[in-house]
Amino acid sequence: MVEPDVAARVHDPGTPAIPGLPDWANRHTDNALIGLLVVAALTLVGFVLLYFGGGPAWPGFAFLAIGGAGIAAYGALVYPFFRNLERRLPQNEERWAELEGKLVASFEQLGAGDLVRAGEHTSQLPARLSRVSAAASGALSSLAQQIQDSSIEVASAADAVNQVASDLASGSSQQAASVVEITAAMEELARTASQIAENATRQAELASRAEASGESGSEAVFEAVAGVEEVQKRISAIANRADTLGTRSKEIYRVLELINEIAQETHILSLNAAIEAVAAGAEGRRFSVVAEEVRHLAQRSQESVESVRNLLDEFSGSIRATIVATEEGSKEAARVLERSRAAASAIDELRQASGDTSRVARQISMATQQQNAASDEVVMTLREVSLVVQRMTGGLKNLSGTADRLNSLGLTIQLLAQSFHLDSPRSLKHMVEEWGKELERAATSTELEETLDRLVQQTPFIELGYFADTTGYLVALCYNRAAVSGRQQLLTLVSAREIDMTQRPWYRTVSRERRAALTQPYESLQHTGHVFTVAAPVYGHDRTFKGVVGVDINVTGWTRI
Amino acid sequence: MIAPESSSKGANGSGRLGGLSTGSHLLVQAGEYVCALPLVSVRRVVRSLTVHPLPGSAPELEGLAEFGGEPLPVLNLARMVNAAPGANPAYPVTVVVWAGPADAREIMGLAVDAALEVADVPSASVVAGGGGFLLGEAPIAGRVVRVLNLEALGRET
Amino acid sequence: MSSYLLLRRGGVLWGIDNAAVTGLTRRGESFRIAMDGEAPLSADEVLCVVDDLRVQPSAALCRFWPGAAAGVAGLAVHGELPLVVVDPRQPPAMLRLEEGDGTDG
Repeated sequence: MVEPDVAARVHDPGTPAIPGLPDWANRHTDNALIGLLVVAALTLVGFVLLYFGGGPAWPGFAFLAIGGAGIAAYGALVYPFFRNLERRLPQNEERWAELEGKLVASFEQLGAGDLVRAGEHTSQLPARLSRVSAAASGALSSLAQQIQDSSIEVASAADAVNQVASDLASGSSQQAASVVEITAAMEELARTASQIAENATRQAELASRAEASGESGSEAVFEAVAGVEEVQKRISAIANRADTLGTRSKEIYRVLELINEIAQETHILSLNAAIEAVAAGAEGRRFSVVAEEVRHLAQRSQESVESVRNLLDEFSGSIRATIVATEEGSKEAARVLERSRAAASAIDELRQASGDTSRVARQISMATQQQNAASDEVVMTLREVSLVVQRMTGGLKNLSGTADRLNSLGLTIQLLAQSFHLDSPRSLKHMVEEWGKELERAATSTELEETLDRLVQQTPFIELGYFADTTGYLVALCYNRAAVSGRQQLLTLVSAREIDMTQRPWYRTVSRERRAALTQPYESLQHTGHVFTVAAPVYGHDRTFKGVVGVDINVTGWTRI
Repeated sequence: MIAPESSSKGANGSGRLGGLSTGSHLLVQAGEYVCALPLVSVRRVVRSLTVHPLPGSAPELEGLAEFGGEPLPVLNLARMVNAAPGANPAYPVTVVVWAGPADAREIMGLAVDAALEVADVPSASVVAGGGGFLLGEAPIAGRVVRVLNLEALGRET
Repeated sequence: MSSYLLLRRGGVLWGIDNAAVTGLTRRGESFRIAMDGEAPLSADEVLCVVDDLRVQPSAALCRFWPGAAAGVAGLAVHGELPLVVVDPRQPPAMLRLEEGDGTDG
């Protein structure tokens, strides 16, 4: 713990040439003596010229006149003036001492950082000095407030930076993890691409062999097709001949029909001849023989026709069977031809497909090789990215540490600014001193405790308020219920009374200097982190020192001041 | 062989053959039967004549035809003899005959499936039938032939 | 020698003594033949009048066509076509004019 440094005393003894004389008088005293010496010198020169010079007398008289006038003027004007001044000198010295004392007191307060009391002292100075001092004090107060505000802004910015750095660090960590995953995936992809390239190469070889097989198969099929076409032509020729035979058969059938009809007519004719022969009686006997012969002839003709018809039927049957067979054969040949052509077409397509497959496989192989190379580059790039991300994560962590230091610096600056007692509600010392004035009005300890509790509750950045009397006895201990909500209150009024408050730094400084004091951050007795204390003296109605009121502010919430 | 017989026929074919029919007969196929027509009553065998049917006539009467400038009623012999239909005739013919009693013979046509031959039918071989149009049956060349009496054609109802 | 009117009715070619015919009119698609003192006859087609018609009686026709036997005078041929010659006094039923046989033209 660090004892508060009491305001340094500053003393600047600016001493004038003649004490008590105004500045312009002090500026001209040297000139009057010099003038007196010049006049005396002129008088002496004139005297020397007049009495010891050999020239005209008028220069000597001039010098004498001038010297005499000067001496007369000195005696009539200067000497009485300075005599008057010498008479006023002790009064001025007394006045000056008084002013000096006030000024010194003011500067002492200023050195202690108490601009309020410093202003009280300078208000009794001469107007101009008071104005200048007030202006200087105001400027300093304004500067201190600006520093307070700036320190809060710095801390807030540091918190923001910290948050951003934390988020970025988190994101970077995730990114690094993602990069690792991507790298692993790319390496796996590269391995897969290599396998694909190998497979593609094998596929290209197989396709090439298939293409070659397709070509030879295509040739064989084309030969088969040519052969089938030839067979089809032969079958067609056979069918044509069978058709011709069938046509001839039909002609023969017609001839046979004609012969049959002739035979029938002949038969009928023979019958009619027999009839006529019978009608002719004996004369027709021979004729009836002839008729009978004719009938036999007709019968034989019919029998021959029948025989020929049977043969022709057989022949026609064979022709028809041949025609049917040739038709079937022709159809089958056509089907075979069609299938052969289809097979040839399919083989040709297969050959082309094999060629395409081989070509595509080669392209795939080349592409995968290129992809492999690209994957390697990507992996290398990802590794570099990973390194960058790691460095960035480290940098962000450093940034976060820097932000913490900024925050701490902001707190330090805030505490430095708060070390001034300003007439401002943002000034903690001023606030606690005002609390002290309110506590002065409390008649009982209960009333004092209630007042203190009210003040603590209405100040959100205050964590704890307390009052110790002149013996160090802790009269009151009040927590800001909102600030400590959810946390265990380790320090109670009873337990705190076991602590000798007179030994606490804040108590010692206030009781010694009878002015508000600000401590540096220290470990809170509540074990809730670091706090700093602002304390101020409390007086009674008779202006006797009654005790010290103090407040604890947690460093994590100081930006809410 | 045809046994020659002396016979005479008038200009209009109205000759007369006394007693049972004997001698040459024209064998014809009528449905499933083979019928024998006395050759003396047969005037001509011709290819099937164009027949003009007569509405409302008996089924035996196929219709009217023209032969040699003369009108010819054409009868279906198979129906006349109640023969079952045979195979489709390859060469149907019409036998132009004189039919009816000797004093009122008229020429008419008999539609048959085929004219087979002229054959001799001994009277002794004829197994008499019920008389009338169907004279009887006789075996000729291994088949049963129905011998017909054309003179009775107009008398039967 | 008589002359005969040749007509066709029911697919049969008929011949009737022209002297017995008193009139011939068209009745729609058919013909009405007015007979002297007899009921009129109907014909699908009227062909011509012929003079040299040799009519031959036919017992077979009468036997095997009993419905028309009473009115059949005999058979004849004209132009290689056989025809039935009818008795104008009792023509066959299928020649008679029926009610509804067309309308007078």
